[in-house]
Amino acid sequence: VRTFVLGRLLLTIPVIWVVSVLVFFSIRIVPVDAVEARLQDLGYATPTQLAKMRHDLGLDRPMYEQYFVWMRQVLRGDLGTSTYTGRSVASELGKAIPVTAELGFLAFAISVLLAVPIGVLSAIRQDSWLDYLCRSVSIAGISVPDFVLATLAVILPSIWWGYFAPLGYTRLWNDPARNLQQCLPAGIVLGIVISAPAMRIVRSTVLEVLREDYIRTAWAKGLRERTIVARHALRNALIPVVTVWGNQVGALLGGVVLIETIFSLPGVGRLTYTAILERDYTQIVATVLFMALVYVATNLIVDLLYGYLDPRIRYA
Amino acid sequence: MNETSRYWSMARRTPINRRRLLRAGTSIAVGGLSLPVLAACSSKKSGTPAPAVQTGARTAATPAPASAAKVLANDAPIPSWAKRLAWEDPGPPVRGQTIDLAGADPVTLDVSQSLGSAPIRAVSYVYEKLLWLRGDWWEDTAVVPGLAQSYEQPDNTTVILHLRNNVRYHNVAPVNGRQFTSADVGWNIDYDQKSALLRHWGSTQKWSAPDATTVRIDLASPYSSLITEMADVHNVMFPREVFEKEGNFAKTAIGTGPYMLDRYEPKVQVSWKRNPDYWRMGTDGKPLPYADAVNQFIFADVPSSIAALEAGRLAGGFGAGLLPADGEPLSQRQRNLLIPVGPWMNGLWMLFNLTVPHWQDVRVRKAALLAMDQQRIIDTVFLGKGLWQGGMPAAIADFSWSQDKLKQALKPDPQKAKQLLDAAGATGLEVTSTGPYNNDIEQAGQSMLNAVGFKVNLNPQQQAEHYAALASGKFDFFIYKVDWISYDPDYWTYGSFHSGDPHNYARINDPDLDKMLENQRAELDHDKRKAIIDNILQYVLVDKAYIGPMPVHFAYHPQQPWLKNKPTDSFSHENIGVEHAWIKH
Repeated sequence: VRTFVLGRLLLTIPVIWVVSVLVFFSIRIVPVDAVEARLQDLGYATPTQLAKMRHDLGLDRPMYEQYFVWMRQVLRGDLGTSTYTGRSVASELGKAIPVTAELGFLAFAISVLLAVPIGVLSAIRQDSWLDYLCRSVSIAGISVPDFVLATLAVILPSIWWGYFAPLGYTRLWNDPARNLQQCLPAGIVLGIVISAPAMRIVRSTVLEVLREDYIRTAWAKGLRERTIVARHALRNALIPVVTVWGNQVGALLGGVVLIETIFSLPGVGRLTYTAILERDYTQIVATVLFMALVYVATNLIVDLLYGYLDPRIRYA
Repeated sequence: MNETSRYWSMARRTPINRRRLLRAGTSIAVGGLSLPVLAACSSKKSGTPAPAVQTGARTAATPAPASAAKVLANDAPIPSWAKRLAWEDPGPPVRGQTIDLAGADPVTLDVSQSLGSAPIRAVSYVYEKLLWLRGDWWEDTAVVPGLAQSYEQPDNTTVILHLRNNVRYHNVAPVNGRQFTSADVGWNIDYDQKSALLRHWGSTQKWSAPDATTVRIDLASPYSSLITEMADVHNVMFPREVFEKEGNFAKTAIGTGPYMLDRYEPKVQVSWKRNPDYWRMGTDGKPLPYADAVNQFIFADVPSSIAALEAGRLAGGFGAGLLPADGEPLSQRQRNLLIPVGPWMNGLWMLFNLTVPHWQDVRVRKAALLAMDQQRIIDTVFLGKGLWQGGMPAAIADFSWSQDKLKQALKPDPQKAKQLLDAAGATGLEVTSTGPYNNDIEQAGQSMLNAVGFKVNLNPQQQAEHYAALASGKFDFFIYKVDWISYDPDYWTYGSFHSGDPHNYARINDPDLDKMLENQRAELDHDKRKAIIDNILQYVLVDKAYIGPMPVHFAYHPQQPWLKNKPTDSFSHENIGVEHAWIKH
């Protein structure tokens, strides 16, 4: 396992390098550069002023040179300063990561709590009204865009019950109750979004496992349904589900961009969203690299989980 | 009351079917999902010792004919405009509370480096101006005292300001609560004139400070806008110590205002705490402000901020106001909210790039103007909540054309438009609009232009791309929204059409027009200046059709009934008058 993990970690380096190259150059190809984007606030600037701003930010150099300068900084542990706000990129990212991490944790917890029971229920009560209801919920979850769900989750409670989460953002360790009030609604929405495809996978894999010989044997032995499903069927059904959840990290990282904006949470998603609008080159590259790292790390964890869930799997 | 006053209205609740449908439909689908959300001024003569005379001399001023001196009235504890636009409470005032408002992320606190509205809203309690426009509302732009208690204009090129003698900067290092004096005004004039962005002091050649509370400003030539420029939202009085220490005002905001910056947390909130040494007195004889703290919560999503208001989390603070699409339903379902409605303080134009050959033909430009039906846009896009507008915002009621005149002068005539286009040999002319502002308006404009023979392509750009195109001149035409504001007609004439002004984005180069624009700038007599501006508007809009004016929508400014004596936010983008406010349920 150690060799496997080490190999995968080493493979992470070229992956991150390729991502950095792609993001670094592609954001610079998009119309309007980091300096022109500042005209949104400045109102106007003369070509001379724009040229000076470009020079100050090093944007008048060839792109490859900019990349090497940036890479040298990164290798020294310095992610640079924002081309828009002038603030430290690492510091901004450092403040945003705990928010998104908490949101991601909540979303996954909610996703598991929803997807597994509903998927299993749907499978063991196949073609019953309960199955149809669960499948409808799943299809609705896949069909309704996350921003619609999020907007409704913000607006409707305020109209119906006069409720809105406490304003601002409170760190979890400062006031857990207040923090949960601010983060839980966003976590629920995100959880619903990523649980919907998982529900369908859980249902189909449980259905498949329930038709296996060893399950039939378990029935023949007179075991209770609960034992058969929980002990024999579910664990074997979880392998493809774990794969889906691993892939859903990508959906989650994409989802937080809009969800955090709608729920006014200062996480990585909102940081990315504003950075893109502001053509904040250094911030964009840093946040995308962070997301890529999370995705790669999650997939590694998923691969390791296979071995835990299925003893037949051996790492070479 | 002028003719546009009838547009003032207060919201009344009427049931709307769309919302009921929304409630019914979504309650089945997502109602259950929402449940866990629940679970979870003094005399002119200063008593302060006069410092040595300081000057920012450039060249000698030229004497001009004398004009009448103007002395501003002393201000009352609660200004009359505050009573008119706020939920009144005669008191006694309630002290020690926190007022929560909506806001946007300022990114920078340096309003001399950013003309956006968010930074000015973030520091509007911190900094103060020499003069204010009373009410900052479209029908009430009279100049009232700020840090200057009065001013005099002994001749056309001289202005003498008399400052208050009891104003101190916040007691925060490096300024440490020192007195605000005439030297500060001089430093700010110099700072403004060195700035690439600011341009408030026109043709000021020289300033001098005979004593701590008197500033004499000498102009090279008469500048009719100088007084209103002193009340401009960006013309605040910075303390020089911060600049000397940090080189800008981006991170440190120290002013003379009622609140001191407490905390700025990007993307979350800006918080202020009470300035205990504020110069203005409350009705209880103690210094303002009444509230101990003000928080401005940063929302990136308008519906979320409206939801927070409806749930009672926010007291108000909707800056430039909500669009009719958001404000109208809100006003219909929330009868308890105070929602003054007035025209949005902004300009919307069809901006033709006059360096592009097809727009150089006046017949083509006139055809575009005659194709445009402002009333149709008001009725369809603005839900009937808007006004006709010329080159000048309707909110500058004193200088803009009346609604009747606009409707007559800019009456749509598609037949004549077709004839003009045909005569120019431009029928079927393919043009591209790259407007970022409002797809609905762009599409309405496209439909009207296509109907007379243009072939309009819509290629919407992001804001950043749009501003870059404005600066570089790489565009064909679009519906142009002016994103920063001024109450002064000079900005909307000279500042928009003069060949030498950087805001002349249409790239107009017309010596006759330049002459008229320079004349209005130099004319201090209000009536004569108004006549010149009338001629400019006639020339620009009708005779030459240099721009294609578009209508303006109403802006909705909601706030809670329990927020007392807080004048409504207006087009100024400033959170005005919060120092007079308190909460009383």
